[in-house]
Amino acid sequence: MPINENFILKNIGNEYMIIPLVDGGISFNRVFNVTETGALTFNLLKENRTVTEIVKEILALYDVSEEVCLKDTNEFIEQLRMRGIYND
Amino acid sequence: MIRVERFYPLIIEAFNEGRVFTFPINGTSMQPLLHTNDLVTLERISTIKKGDIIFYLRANGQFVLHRVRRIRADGYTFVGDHQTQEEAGIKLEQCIGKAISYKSVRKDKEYNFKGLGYWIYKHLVRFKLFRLICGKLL
Repeated sequence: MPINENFILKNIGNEYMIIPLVDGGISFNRVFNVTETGALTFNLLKENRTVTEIVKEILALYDVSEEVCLKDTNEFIEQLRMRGIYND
Repeated sequence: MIRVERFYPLIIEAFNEGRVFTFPINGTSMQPLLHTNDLVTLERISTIKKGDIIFYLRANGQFVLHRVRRIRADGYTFVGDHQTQEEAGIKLEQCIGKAISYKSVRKDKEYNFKGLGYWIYKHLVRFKLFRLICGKLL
């Protein structure tokens, strides 16, 4: 799985955050706050979905142009990569 | 600084999943042991002993990490290692987690509340005079 298994997505109220697991425990010092779309992207990546498929899912839910959506998704994945959450 | 109120539900969730929970602390009341931004790891409480460091919720909604000073019929008495004023009557239901280790940010080192050095410190810190001296020196 390209999503590093040492990261989990949590939802508190209307907030989403990607939290690292350290030795199986939750570590709250390096939390990555993400939007609802970010959370969806994270979950789809976890299911090994491609960027094209993810963009399609987002377009079905939000009123956004395909061009912007693709750019944002790639940027988000790059963020995940930089933080060691995603490795392809 | 991350507010505890924000991640409190996560602590409960972590414990329910059988995980420990690590978070950065804020404040001076547990100096010289713990300093702001040190990472403290909590586990679900099974037993509480005198000298344990417990994360609990005050009646006013404030979250605190202090050491058990006394155990009485009407609840636990807590005090910070850097404090002289004790806080009595904290009920078991108010106690959330027990500290099992911490990482000092200044020293970049992890400690697990075991070993002779900590044992000596834990017993010395019971004395108000020691806490007063610690407060002045550190």
